[in-house]
Amino acid sequence: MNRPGLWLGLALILVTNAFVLTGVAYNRSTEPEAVIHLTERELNLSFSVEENTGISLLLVWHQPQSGIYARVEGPGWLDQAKLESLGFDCSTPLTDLEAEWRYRKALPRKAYVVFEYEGKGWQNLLDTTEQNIERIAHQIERKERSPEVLKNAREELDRLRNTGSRLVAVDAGSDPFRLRQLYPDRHRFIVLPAEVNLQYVPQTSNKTGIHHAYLFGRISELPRPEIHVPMTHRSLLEKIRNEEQQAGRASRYSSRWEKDQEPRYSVVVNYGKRREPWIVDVQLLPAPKRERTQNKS
Amino acid sequence: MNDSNKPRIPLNRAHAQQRVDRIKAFQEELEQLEHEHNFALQDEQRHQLERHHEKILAELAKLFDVDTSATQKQMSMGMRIASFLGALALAASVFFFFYRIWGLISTSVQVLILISAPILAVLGVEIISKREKYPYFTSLIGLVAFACFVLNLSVLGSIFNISPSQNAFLAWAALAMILAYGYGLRLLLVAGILCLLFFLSASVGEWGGMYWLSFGLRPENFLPAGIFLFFLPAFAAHSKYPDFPGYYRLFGMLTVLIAILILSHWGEGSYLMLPPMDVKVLYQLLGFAVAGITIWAGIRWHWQGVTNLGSTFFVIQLYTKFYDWWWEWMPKYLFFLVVGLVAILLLNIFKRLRSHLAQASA
Repeated sequence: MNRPGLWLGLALILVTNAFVLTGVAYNRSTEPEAVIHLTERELNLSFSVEENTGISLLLVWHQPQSGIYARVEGPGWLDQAKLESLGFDCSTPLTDLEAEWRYRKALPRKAYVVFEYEGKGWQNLLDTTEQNIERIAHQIERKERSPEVLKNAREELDRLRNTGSRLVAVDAGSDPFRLRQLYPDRHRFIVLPAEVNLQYVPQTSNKTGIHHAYLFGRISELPRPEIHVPMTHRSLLEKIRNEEQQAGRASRYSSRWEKDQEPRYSVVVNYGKRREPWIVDVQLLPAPKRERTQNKS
Repeated sequence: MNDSNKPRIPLNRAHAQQRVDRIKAFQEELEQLEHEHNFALQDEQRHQLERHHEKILAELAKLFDVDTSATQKQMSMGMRIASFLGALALAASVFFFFYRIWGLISTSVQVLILISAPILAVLGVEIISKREKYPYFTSLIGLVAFACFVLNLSVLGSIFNISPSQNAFLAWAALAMILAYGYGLRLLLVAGILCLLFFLSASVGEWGGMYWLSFGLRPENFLPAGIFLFFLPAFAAHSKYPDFPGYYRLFGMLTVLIAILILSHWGEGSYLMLPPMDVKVLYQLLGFAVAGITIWAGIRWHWQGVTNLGSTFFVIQLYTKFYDWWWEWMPKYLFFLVVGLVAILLLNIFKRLRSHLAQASA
């Protein structure tokens, strides 16, 4: 190889890495964009594979129209107006014959989503789920559904209340700085880039009447849903993961806890200027309920 | 023949191998002629010719490590396959080794290893290339260097939770191309072409307003990239590596044809705001047209790989149409009979075309 080519190759490697690391430094420079204290409910431990010694935590969150028993009638806050503000083309009338195939072709778009921790969004989610349970109970009285459905719905509400993530998507927009102005509390709201899909619900009719067609948005994924745990903070999590594996409870993510299991750890996560996270602290949580349960047995 | 005339030295190994193959063919044809037509050179002419050819073959073998016999050619093919498989295995080993140890080392050590690995591998490529004429081991280490660089950027992204970007494909393509053109490595050229393809397609998707991670949802994102790659060699001379343009054309056209084939069966996946059935028909017609043009271009400019590719896709398009039209209602024996008869018809058409071309060139 001619010498310039060799140096070009080496320079490419060094320059690319310098560029990446400079971006990391920039993200972590000055005051974090958000600092948030989460628990195991919001950050699930990843499953261990022998070939991969890294540990990461998966960010778990809720959005409108999420959960089988928490489905609302209508689009929620990610409605047609919000979708149009995000750049989706919603000009085809919903009653048009071509509406269904046109809207099904809509491509996902990048948007910034506001996630709220243990606030009104979380309370609304619980309220909606409870309302859904009441509705199911009435349907059972009219013998329209089986009692098993109600039992499952109540179990799901228990799981949500006791062990479910309290992080809920509450707003979206194209300008993250504008969203931060609207939600200035950096310890309760995180503004993250996400992929948003447009969903079309056609008109339906049943015993309760005619339900008109509508559009709603669905937050399909975050660019980086997992947060890597650096070596300085992994010992506690590694111990918990090993206990899980020995007890035979390991699944892809240890999110299917026992009903009486409290979160075992808390995590402090910083989000930087580029809205990329890093873990700054991991602490073991006291487990009074867990101990009382064990003592009882 | 003047013995003092020195043979002209070819520019590269490909030309050298072609010269060796021509000499061997000439020797075999001369022997055949002597046997069939009682034709013989004078002894002095024969000796001069043999000495001249021996000299050329020795010189070329020394300079370019060419294959001077059929056995050597088979051995070389085996070595190339072994080099490829070895490279894949070593690349996988690098990946798994790092994932095995990274959780046990500090961030700074992780970063150091990730940056050092591709640098050391590239230096290794340079050192090894000086020790061999044909790049068997160079190709192997080159692929490992590429794998180390892929690991480098991927894992840095995981460690620091960086949002993924399509620019990583551009960086990977750049290194692959530098190694390919620096050392004549075909495998690295293919890796570079594929990375460039993904970068261009993802960028086209992003410019169209979609989130780049979902660029695969629209096969049309691949069309501009495929066309660009196909025509790229026309703007850059490849005197040192005359076989490289063939790879660009092959992968460029393959990309275009696969995208069209997918859209001819999946109308929902098109940017075009037309009913899915209309889109399917449009791309089916386009598929036949593009396959036909590809065959013509391959014949016109003597691009054999391109001709074969066009022919293959033409047949695939045809047979998938037959399946769509007749599979459900036609008895199976009749379906396969029709397909076989169409194959015979195509064979006759190509045979007549071949004769016509032979007459035209005569």
